[in-house]
Amino acid sequence: MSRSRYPSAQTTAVVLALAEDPAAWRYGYELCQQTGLKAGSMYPILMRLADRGLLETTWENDVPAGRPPRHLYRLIGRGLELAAELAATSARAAKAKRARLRPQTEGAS
Amino acid sequence: MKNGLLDFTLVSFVFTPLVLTVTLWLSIWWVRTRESRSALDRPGLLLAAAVRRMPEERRDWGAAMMAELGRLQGSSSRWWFALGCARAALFPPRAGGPPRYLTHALTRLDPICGMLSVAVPPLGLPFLYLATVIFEAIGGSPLTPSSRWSDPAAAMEVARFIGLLSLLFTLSGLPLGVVGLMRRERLRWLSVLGMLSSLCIIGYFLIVMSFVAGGPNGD
Repeated sequence: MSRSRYPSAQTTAVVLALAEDPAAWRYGYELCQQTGLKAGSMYPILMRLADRGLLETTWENDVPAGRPPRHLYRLIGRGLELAAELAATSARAAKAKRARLRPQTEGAS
Repeated sequence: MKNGLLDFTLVSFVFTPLVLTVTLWLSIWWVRTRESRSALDRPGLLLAAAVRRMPEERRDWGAAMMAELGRLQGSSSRWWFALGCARAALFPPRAGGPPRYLTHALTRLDPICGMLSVAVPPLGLPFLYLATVIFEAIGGSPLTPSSRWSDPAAAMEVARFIGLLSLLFTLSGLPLGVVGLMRRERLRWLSVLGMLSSLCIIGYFLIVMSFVAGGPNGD
């Protein structure tokens, strides 16, 4: 029986960052910069996502001379579904937060 | 001469293994990193050392980290990235079930066990630790499925060094232990235990060496 657990805030950030342009291949350092996560957090998250079949990995083809090929990542299948679900949840949470704040703001004015 | 730092038991079963262990570690590091040392800066060397300890099923991720570091510019960026990746490489998320995770955790602890075995000298332990180090250096850790037979040249070089160490053990450690016994040192039973461990391990080295000498096809 597979365990269904809600992803952490960091994993959510990585999944949403990857989902911004689902067709594009992304690399580790780029994702670190986008999410603000350190490499020590980013790579374990990427490993877990790949282990769960949410992430596709490949090695870079067009490599500048003298540089090693990068490992690239993008969401696939269930990963994209998870991203959509997380985006919807985030949107609902943001809407609820705005609704909570509105009466206070109106009351103050 | 009977007590203090020159105590025969202490010399034969603590100091000798300690010196040999450190020498062995440095030699293995020297052989393994000969090619990469010239190409890598300090963050690269740090990450390479951490990546070498990754379990087999995570090696691709280690290569990914090294490749990513290879593209980074700037000393501080490289250091921060290498430190973060080193942490991830030393403690990767488990890929298998809990038993494998446990064995990986135990393997991560072996330098600590080594230090403890030297700091707390219930004798024989330094020899056992040395055996673990050598075993891991040649064929991968006995606790993990990793294997380094893919580089027979490096394995042969390490094996030759181990041959020399075994000879040193035989020439120095065992006679010192025997003399310690004859002089009725304190903790004689520990001397016996240490010597028995030493004999077993030397025998084990010889078997491993003959296996290594046969090359990877001898598997």
